[in-house]
Parts: sequence; structure tokens; C-alpha cells
Amino acid sequence: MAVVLLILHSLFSVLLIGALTHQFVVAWWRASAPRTSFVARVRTVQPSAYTNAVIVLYIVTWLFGAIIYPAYTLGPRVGFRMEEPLAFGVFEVKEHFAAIGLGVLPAYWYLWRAEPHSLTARMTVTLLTTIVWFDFLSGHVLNNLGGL
Amino acid sequence: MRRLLLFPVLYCIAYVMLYALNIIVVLYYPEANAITRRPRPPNFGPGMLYYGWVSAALVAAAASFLVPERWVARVPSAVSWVFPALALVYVIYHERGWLFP
Repeated sequence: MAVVLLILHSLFSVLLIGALTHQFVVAWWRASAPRTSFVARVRTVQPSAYTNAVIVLYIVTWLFGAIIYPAYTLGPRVGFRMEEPLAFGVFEVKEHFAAIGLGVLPAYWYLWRAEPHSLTARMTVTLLTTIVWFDFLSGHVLNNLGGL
Repeated sequence: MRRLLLFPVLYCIAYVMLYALNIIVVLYYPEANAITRRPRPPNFGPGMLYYGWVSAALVAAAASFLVPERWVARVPSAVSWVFPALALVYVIYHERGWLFP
């Protein structure tokens, strides 16, 4: 069961990282004129369109992570603590980063509705993108080291 | 609605305080499937503080809805990302013993 939930956690994190990275790119490098190439077209979308999706995906991904956390605590965490202190520390950082990101979501929602072109709105998406990329990469590396 | 800018501020202050001081809000022992307020003997297995910290921080942050709007108007909107950014830095500092042995 934990493996199924871990896969769902990973799948939702892929969707989340895609939505957040798109919003981050458009927030900082928006292009107004229509573009022709695939990469350039990414810059013409409306960044605020991603906000609700990001919030739902973040909460769902966090919930799946929180549900499988006990299995990790009883399994790989013990081994990491004894034999891989760096991996243990990275997971500690990952879990706390995820929790802090959860607290940013209400302000992020407000800013992308009320002040979508402000520096603060762009900084909140930068913060969330940093958290999600770190958690995504560290989660995959840790799972390869000794996952569920 | 501008009150929501204070949500991450109160959330991060509460979360970092609980985390830094290792305060027990709720302890969950997955091996024994027990939720307690006090540490249990080693035969209960490892305890988890995380759920308690997140729940308590969410409750503390909900106090942002009680702040009068005229007060919130004076608060710079940057606090909504500066406090969480500082919290991330603190987490790395707190875990430095594991990260940089």
C-alpha cells in the first residue's frame, strides 16, 4: 500500500513541478507577443492561471507524503540515521521545507489574485518553486538510496 | 483578504519555534499506532512530532484572520515571502549537524 501511495505522491509532484515551473518562468520572463517556438510559447501564457492548480496539487502531494511518512519513519529512516547521516539530514530538510510551503499557500493565492504582477507575487512563486524542486530531487535520490 | 499575507508570517513563527525547541504538540508512534502528548518508552518505536507541529502552526496562522484590516494595510506584502525564506534558512542551519558532518 505504501508503494502505491509513494507512486501517487511522485505523480502528483510531477504535475506540481510542471505547473510551478511554468508559472515561475512566465512570472519572470513573460512575453506579450505571440511566439512560434514551443519553448517561447511557454512565456506567453497567463501566470495566474496556474495558481489554483498549484494549490490543489501542493496540498494533495503533501497529504500523500504525510500518509506515507510513518512507513518511512519505521523503514528507511532508521537505516539512514545510522549509516547515511547526510541522507537523513536531507530528508529532515525536505519534510520541513514541505511544511513551510504549506503555510505560504494562502498568501500565494491572495497575491496572484490581487497583485499578480507584483514582485511579492513573483517571490512567492519563486519560493514555492525552490521548495518543490528541492523536495522533488531529494525525494527521488533518497528513494534510490533506500526507499520504501 | 489582505490578512492572508500575515498567514505565512504567523505560520512560520509558530512552526520554527516548535521545531527549534522540539516542543511536543502531539506525538504519533506509528509502530504502536498511538497518539500521545508525552514521550513513551522505546518499545513504542520512533515517535513523530511533525503532524503536531503542522497542525499547531496552521491553528496559530488562523489568528491572522482576527487582525484588523487597518493594521494589515501597514504591513509590507514582502513579509509573506521573507518570513518563509528565513524559515528555510533556519531549517538548513538547524540540520547542519547532519548535512555538514
